[in-house]
Amino acid sequence: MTSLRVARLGAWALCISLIVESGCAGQPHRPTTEVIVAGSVCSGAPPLAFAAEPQVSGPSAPSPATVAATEPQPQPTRPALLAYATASGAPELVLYDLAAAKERFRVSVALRNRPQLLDDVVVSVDAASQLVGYDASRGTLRFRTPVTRASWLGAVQVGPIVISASTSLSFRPDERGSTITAIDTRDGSVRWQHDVSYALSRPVARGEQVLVLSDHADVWALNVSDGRTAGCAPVRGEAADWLEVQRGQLLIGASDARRAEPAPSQNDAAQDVNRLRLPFELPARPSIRPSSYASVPAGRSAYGRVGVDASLELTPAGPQLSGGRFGYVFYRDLFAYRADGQLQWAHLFDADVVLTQALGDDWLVVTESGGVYRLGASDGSLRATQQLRDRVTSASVDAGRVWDATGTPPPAPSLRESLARIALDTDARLLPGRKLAASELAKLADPAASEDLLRTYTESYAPSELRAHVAAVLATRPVGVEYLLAALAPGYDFLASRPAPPLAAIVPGLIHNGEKRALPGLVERLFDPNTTLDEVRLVVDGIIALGGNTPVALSSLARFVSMYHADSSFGPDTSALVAASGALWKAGAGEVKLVEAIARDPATVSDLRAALVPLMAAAEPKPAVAAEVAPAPAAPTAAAPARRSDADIAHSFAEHTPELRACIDALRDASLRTVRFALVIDADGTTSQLHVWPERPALTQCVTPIVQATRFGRVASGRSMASYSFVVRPATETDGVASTRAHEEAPFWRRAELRATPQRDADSRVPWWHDQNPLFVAVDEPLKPAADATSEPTRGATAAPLGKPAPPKQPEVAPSHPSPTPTKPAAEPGAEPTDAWWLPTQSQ
Amino acid sequence: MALACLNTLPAAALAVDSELIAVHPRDANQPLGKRLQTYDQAELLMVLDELAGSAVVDRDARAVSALLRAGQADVVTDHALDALGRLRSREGREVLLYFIHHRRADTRRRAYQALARIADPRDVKVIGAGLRDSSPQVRGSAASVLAEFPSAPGDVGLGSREVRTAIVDDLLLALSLGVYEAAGTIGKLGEADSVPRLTAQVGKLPLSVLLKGYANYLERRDLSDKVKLQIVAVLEDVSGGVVKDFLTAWLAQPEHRAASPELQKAIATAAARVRRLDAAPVTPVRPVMPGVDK
Repeated sequence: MTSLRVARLGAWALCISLIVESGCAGQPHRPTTEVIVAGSVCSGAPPLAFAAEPQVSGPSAPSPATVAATEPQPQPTRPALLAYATASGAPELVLYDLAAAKERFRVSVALRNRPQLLDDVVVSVDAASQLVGYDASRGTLRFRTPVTRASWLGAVQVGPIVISASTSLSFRPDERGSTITAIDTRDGSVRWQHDVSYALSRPVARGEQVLVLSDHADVWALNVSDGRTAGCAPVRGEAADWLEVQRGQLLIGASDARRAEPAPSQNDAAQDVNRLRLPFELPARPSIRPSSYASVPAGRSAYGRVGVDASLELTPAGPQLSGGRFGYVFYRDLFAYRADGQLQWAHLFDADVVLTQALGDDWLVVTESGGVYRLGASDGSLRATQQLRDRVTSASVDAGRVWDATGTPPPAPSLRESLARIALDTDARLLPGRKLAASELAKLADPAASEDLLRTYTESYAPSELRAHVAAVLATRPVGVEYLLAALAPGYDFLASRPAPPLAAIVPGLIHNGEKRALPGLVERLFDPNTTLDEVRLVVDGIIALGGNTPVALSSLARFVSMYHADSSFGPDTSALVAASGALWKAGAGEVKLVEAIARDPATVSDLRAALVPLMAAAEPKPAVAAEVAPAPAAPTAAAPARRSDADIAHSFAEHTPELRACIDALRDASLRTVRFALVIDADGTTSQLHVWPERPALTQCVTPIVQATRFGRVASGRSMASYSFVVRPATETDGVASTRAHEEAPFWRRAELRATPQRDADSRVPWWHDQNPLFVAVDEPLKPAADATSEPTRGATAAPLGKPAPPKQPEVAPSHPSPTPTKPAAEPGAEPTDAWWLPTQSQ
Repeated sequence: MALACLNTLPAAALAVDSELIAVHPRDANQPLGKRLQTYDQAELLMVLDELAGSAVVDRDARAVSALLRAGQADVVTDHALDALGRLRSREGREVLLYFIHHRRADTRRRAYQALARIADPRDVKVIGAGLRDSSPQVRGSAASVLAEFPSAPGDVGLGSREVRTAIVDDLLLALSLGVYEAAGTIGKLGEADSVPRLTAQVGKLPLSVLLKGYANYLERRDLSDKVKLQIVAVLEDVSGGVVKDFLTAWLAQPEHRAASPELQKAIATAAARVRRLDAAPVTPVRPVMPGVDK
């Protein structure tokens, strides 16, 4: 029994020691197939030299394209080869010599992944999940090996060895993992293979080593010859999606690009690394490099069609864009940018782009329709083209010598022309590209770009999203206002098949630029029935912003509000009327009376009337209005006015505010907010028939002598009804700390009360129930046209009081509640009609 | 109803209201301007609908114009525009020139009709611009009212050859774009050279539409028989039951007996020649089978 126990303890000790040893002793990976079950691939591996110098200058060292773009290189003697999968007819793999402009070979094979050009073989995965390698010279099949995982990531060639990686994503642990395999291209044999339970990236070569990213965090180096682990280290910074070798140095990145450096220890202060990022976010948010964890299909896909094409070089300051430029492909659009984000040129192709490759001063582009284009990298000029006999679904190219251009290339179109072509293209998939083109158009200093943007906006099939974007970018454009003005002028014309002007695109730009010349056009559009409700709101905003308190602006807004305040046209959206009324209210002068009258008119659209109440409560009219309506000090010898205005009554009551407040405070009724007085005032200013609401005997008893003592002044028009409301402001917590606390803690309605100004209870404005509708003016006799009585009155004319002589027995006030036949009293006598809209002028 | 509401009010409010009501006796003898000073829509409509030509049409037109300028509910606006048309006073022109741009198409149509009834020669171009309106209803109305617009030689409206030519050009274009009401107006306003242009629409537009134009051409005394004979020849070429009915009906109208004998003869001949191509085919009678049919 004891011996059994000892044996068990010995076995446990052996197990523990094995576990500890395997985790800490840094045993290298075995060259044969090995399954690493858990933990980092770097567990126990020797550290990786991140900045190792390249040991051999093989074809797997720095990308030739990158080198060509960064340093003056002699013309490559090796022809550039293009490998592509066909889309038409039976599926084929074609290797095309771009220098000789002829096919090298054509193999009938259905590929599952995009063909990849290596040193002397073209590799891909066929429909039977076999990794196939064809001789790049003759097209013979060099090897065919099963791919163990579902997704083939790619391969790299070092000498005769092709190292391929595949991965499978699954929720089942036993199915999840990656495999890296070394295949001898001479006989197709598998030299070594590693299976790991986590994700590996597409392999890259550095000398005699092959490197992969493991789980986006570690760089794992393997000896090409035997598959042993040459080094492993976690990389510093965020997770990496791709790995690239630049002259022995490692570049990694996700959306950015950075030099791969070992992760600091716990005590090492984190130092920021120099990153290269795109200067702005592009549609579909492409990274500088596509992810190396993704499998690229042979069929049509976004790979190649949407993405960034940038050659990178590693400098002491970090990675940089080779040539200081990068390209962005979006299906049929190609945008060439400088490193600082300045667009250099753009091009719209007739078919989707499946491949772009910077080749020194040229940009090679292959399209789905089989077009091969050599574009000047600096100006986008079309230097030469070739036409493949196939439609292409996916392709890859290795750098080398391309064909020579013959003849003089046609001049490149201007950037504006190119962008306009892209923006106007009707391919529904290209909406993000069209928006990008619109944004770039808006950045141009050429004023004519505004015209292109307007054309884009008015294009029949322009999606609403594009229109909204164009309107947004036009709104902030500082030039090209002339085009906006020109587009504002002509209205809808059925006979000329001319649509209504695109006001949503025009007006914000005019406002942004403060273009006051647009005011007449805006007024014309305000009364254009083809201006939509949304646009009317914009137009009103434009008139307010550009016209301010000018007579043209105010008279047009007054005419607009007056004309439509009771009309059903604005039933669905009264915001334009509300905005116009707000501007009139703030402008003061006669417009205040207009707004008040509209607020009282029972025919006013209910939404408008509801919106006017808080508007009128929140925004006080200009002081000039108060001066206008406030009673002037009457000279003793002055003749009595014809009638007593509401302002006069309010002013008289205001003189007794302290006494009235004392009466109200004596009630000790905190819920009391308004006390209303109705009374009859005789011509000599004496009062009678006083009624007070709420009906409290104590209150009536208190205020009656005060009202009787109030002097209302003598008028010529005889008795009149009067009504006045005394707004009771809450008297508590209006001052001091308590007030502040109340402001902070009170609900919004309470805070609104507390914010109310003390003067509001002595408001000199006419109470809302007083009917002084200036909208309607009885004209029994023809008016003599004033010198300035044109359709657009002057400022002075607008500011003058409105009105016409009232009937002799017309009351001053309307009933406090609807009577069977309510009346619209006329305005003050003696006032000259001044506004061309609501006061009629003599016709021609 | 209103009295019932009044009965529920406090005594003080009743006192105020009764005084107010007493101050405003409604009187049909009051000037129109005063009668229109009410928020009562029913009363407004009643007053507007009563309006017609009188000795004070200018004053009434100014009152209605002021009412319109003040902004009214839809129904009041429409009735007021109709009233201005009935008043036929030039005092109403100015406000109508605003309302031909109103947002509601029906309001624009009424404004154009009112302008046409006022018949100021200066407004011919304005009404012609109605052909460019976005609403088919307004375009049709503008085309129709132009046909009835009076003219006098030398006036600035249809009395001017340039204006008339421009209007007819627009009418022809509008007709080709589907404003069928333009056909009749072209027949009333167009010169001889407009006949072939109208004929160019044969086969493109319904024949019944074009016949309205041809009918008006044939009615006119300022057109020569030569032009009218051309029209008859065109109709004979077109042929069909519709043309035959048209020509036959034209001959049957008593007022056309004053037309030249040559034209009458040509129309009669054409009516006789034209065949009813669109007559329904005669249904063959199935023979009765003895023993089967009863």
